[in-house]
Amino acid sequence: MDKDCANVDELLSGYLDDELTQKDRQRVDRHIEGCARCSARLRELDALSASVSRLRADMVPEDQEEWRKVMDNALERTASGIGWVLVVGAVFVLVGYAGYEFLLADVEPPMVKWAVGALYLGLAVLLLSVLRQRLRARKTDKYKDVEI
Amino acid sequence: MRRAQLMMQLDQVGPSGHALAMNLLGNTADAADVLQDAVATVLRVRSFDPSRGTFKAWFLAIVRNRCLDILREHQRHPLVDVESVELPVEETDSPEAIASQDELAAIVKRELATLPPAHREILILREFLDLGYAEIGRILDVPTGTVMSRLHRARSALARRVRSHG
Repeated sequence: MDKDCANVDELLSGYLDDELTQKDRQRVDRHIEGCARCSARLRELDALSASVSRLRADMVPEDQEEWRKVMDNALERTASGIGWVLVVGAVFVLVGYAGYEFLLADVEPPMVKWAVGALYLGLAVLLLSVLRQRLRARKTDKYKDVEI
Repeated sequence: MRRAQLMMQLDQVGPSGHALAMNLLGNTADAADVLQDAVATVLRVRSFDPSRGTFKAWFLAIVRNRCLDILREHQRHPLVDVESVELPVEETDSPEAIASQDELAAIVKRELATLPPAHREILILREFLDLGYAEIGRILDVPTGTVMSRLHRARSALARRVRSHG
């Protein structure tokens, strides 16, 4: 394939899709008039493009039912996400407030205050470490896509 | 953008997103996941800027990026740099000559499904969703000239595979 054919070949898809400038279009027209090889190549790409387009009915779902389901699930997921954010936020605020009240409360002996504080801190650390493990497992679990 | 307006726009572009995800992933469950993610992202972000293209292009770009994430995660089809793939032009039998239309359609369908995603996505956007080069460029985030060369490489790759059945 000479250089001119190679340059025109790059333009053939744009020619078929009517996406070339007028200048490039004329250039392709002039070339394929005198080049059997590029002319055959254009016909080949045209036939192929038509074959792919004919598959459209099979490959592009016409009915909206599947899309409706997807939308409904997405909306549910968004709603449940908002719900979780509200619940977790409220729990944090309440626990923080309870801790604050507890620290200010006049409890005797002070040792009890420290012990309860350590208990809550320990529970929080354990919860965070379990969450971290779960997240790591979720990212690296090679069997996560296996359907049971 | 208001939620009701977004929902209306999503209803219009959703089936195209569905077609893109289905054909890129070849798997109904993954496609549904991708679409749900894309819809959730649109509803959360709500920052569509009309000066940067159509809503359809924006939505399809979100769907396409999520599909590529999933393909990378699954490593089913490693992405190839289509710009570097050499595609010699051979002068052999044309697709018209090798089979009847139905046979040809079956071959094309099979070969299309096994093309690298980078080729597949651009063919889906052009041939199935009937998008112009400018819109495809916005979805793939590449200039129009690159769309033309990528599409040409994709068609050439498909033509070569179809020819091999002749």
